[in-house]
Amino acid sequence: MSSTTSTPGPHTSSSRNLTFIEHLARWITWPRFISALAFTFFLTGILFPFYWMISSSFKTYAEIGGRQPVYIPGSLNLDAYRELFDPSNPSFQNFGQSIMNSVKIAVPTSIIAVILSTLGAYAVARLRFRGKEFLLNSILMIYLFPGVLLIIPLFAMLSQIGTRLGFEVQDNLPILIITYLAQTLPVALYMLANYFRTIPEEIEQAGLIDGCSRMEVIWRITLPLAIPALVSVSIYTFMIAWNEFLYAFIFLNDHNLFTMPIKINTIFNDPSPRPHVVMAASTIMTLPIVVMFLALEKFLSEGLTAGGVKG
Amino acid sequence: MAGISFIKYRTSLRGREVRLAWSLVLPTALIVFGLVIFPAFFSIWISFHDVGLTELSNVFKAEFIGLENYKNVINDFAFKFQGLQNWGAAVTSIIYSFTATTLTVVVGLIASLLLNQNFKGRGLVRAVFLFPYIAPIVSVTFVWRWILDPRPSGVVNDILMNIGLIEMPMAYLSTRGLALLLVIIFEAWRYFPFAMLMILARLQAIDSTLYEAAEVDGAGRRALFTNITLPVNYDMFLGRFSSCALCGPSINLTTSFS
Repeated sequence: MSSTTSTPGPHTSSSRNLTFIEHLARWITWPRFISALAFTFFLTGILFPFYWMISSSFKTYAEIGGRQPVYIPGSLNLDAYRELFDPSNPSFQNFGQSIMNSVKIAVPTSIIAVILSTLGAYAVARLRFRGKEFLLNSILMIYLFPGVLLIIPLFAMLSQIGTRLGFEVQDNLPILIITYLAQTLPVALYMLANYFRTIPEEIEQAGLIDGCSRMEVIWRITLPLAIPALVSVSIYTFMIAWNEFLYAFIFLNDHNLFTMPIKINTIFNDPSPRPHVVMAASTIMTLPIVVMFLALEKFLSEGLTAGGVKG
Repeated sequence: MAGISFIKYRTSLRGREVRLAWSLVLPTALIVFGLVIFPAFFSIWISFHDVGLTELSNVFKAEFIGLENYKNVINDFAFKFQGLQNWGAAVTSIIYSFTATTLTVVVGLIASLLLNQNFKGRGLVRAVFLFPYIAPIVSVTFVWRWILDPRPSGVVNDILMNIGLIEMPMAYLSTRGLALLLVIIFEAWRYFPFAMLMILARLQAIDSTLYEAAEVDGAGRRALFTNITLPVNYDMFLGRFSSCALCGPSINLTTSFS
C-alpha cells in the first residue's frame, strides 16, 4: 500500500534528491502511522489462518506431528491430496465423491433460488396487493430462528409427510435442497426486491403500453437491468448451500452422499488425527468460493448492502 | 350487484395484477412458511409434549406433559447459574451473545473507517477483509482449532512461548472462561465483515458537504465522528443487537426438547 501518490505534497519538485527513508519520514504522520498499524493487524489476522490452512495441506506427516510448528513446508508435498483422491492410497477418503455431492446440492439450490426469488421480488417491488407488508415481514422472521431451533420440528414434520407420501427424509438430496431454499429465499427475495426498486418504473410502463405482458416485461426489461443483483444472489445462495453443515449433518447418513463439510468433519474425527488432510480438504472447499468471490466481488458487496440498507 | 362487481374485479387490470402478484410470491411463501414458520410454532407444541429422539417419526402420539420439560431444563445443572465458577448455559448464552455482538460491531466499525479512506488498492483490501465471512465455516473453524492446539506445536503456544508470555503450553479451548473469550473473538473474526459492509455503505452515502459544513463551523475531528458518523449508523447497530440478542435465548429453548 504505497499511499504517497494520493497526497501530492509541496515537496514533489525536490523529491528526486530524497532517499526512500526521507520520503517515508516526510509521509508518515501519527494518523497515518496508526492506520498503517491497524491495516497490518487486520491483514495478518485475516490472512494468517488462510495461509496456515493452505501451507499445512502441503506438509508431510513428520512436519505436522513435530514438537515445533513448521511455518513454511519444506516442499510442495502432495501426501494429503493423495489421501483424498488416490484410490490406491491405504487411507483413501474418496473426496471426489463429496465434491460432486456438494456441487449436486449447491448448483440446483442456487438456480432454483434465483428463479423463485426473482418472481417473488418482482411482485413485492412492483405490484400492489393486500397483505404484502405482512407477507414480507413474516418471511423475514426467519432471521429470528436459528437453524438449531428448527431442526427437530422440521425433521419430525418431514418424516410425517414422508411416511404418508412414501419418501425417505434421510439421505435424500432434494429434501436437503428444499431446506436450503427455505434458508436462502428470504434474503434473496429481500436483496432482489431492493434492487428492483432502484430500476425506474417508467421503463417498464413504456413496455406495458407497447403491449408487452407482465412476464414479458420481467424477462425483457427488468432482468437484463438487474444482472448485478442476480449474480450476487446466485453466489450468495451457492455459498450458503456449499458451506452448510448442520442440516447436512442431520439429514445425511450414507457416506456416499456426504457433502464436503460433513466429510471434513469425518476426517477430523478419525481415530488417527491427520490435520494436514483436514487442511487439504478445507483448502479444496474454500478455494472455489474465494476465487468466485474475487471474480464477482463488486456485484456481491453491492447486492449484500442492497439487502441490508433498506431504502 | 356484488357478483357483477366481483366479475369486474376479476377481469379488471387491477384484479389480474393482484392474482399475478400472489402467484409470483406463492412458491417462495410456501417454502418459507412450510419449512421455517410452521416448524417454529411446531417446536412450541413439542416443548409441551414428551418427545424422545427415537419417537420423532410419530410425534403426534406423544403425551402432553405441560410444563414438565421446562421444569427439567430450569433445574438442569448444565443450564442453571451455579455461582461464578460455573455459569451454566443460560447466563453463558446471554453474556456470549451480548459481548460477541458488541465486539463484532466495534471491529466492523474500525474496519469500515479504515476502508473509508482513499488509497490505492482499496478494492482488493476490501475483498480481503471479507474473506472470513465468505469462507466455509467448517474450514475456518478447523484451522482456528488447530492454531489454538494445546500441544507445544500449536501456533499460538509456539509464538507466546517464544516471546516469553507463557512458560508452558496452554489448553486454550478447554480452559473455562478463556474458551468462551476465544469463541467470542472467533465470532467477531468471522462476522465483522458483514457489519463492516453495512456501515461502509452508510458512510459512503453520507454527503461530504455535511462534513465540510461542520468543518467550516469549527468542529474538530472527534466532533465530526460523534455527531455525524456514529448517528448515521445507530439504527444499524440496534438492528444487529436485536437480531443477535434474540438468537441467544432461542438457542436455550432448544434444550427443552428432551
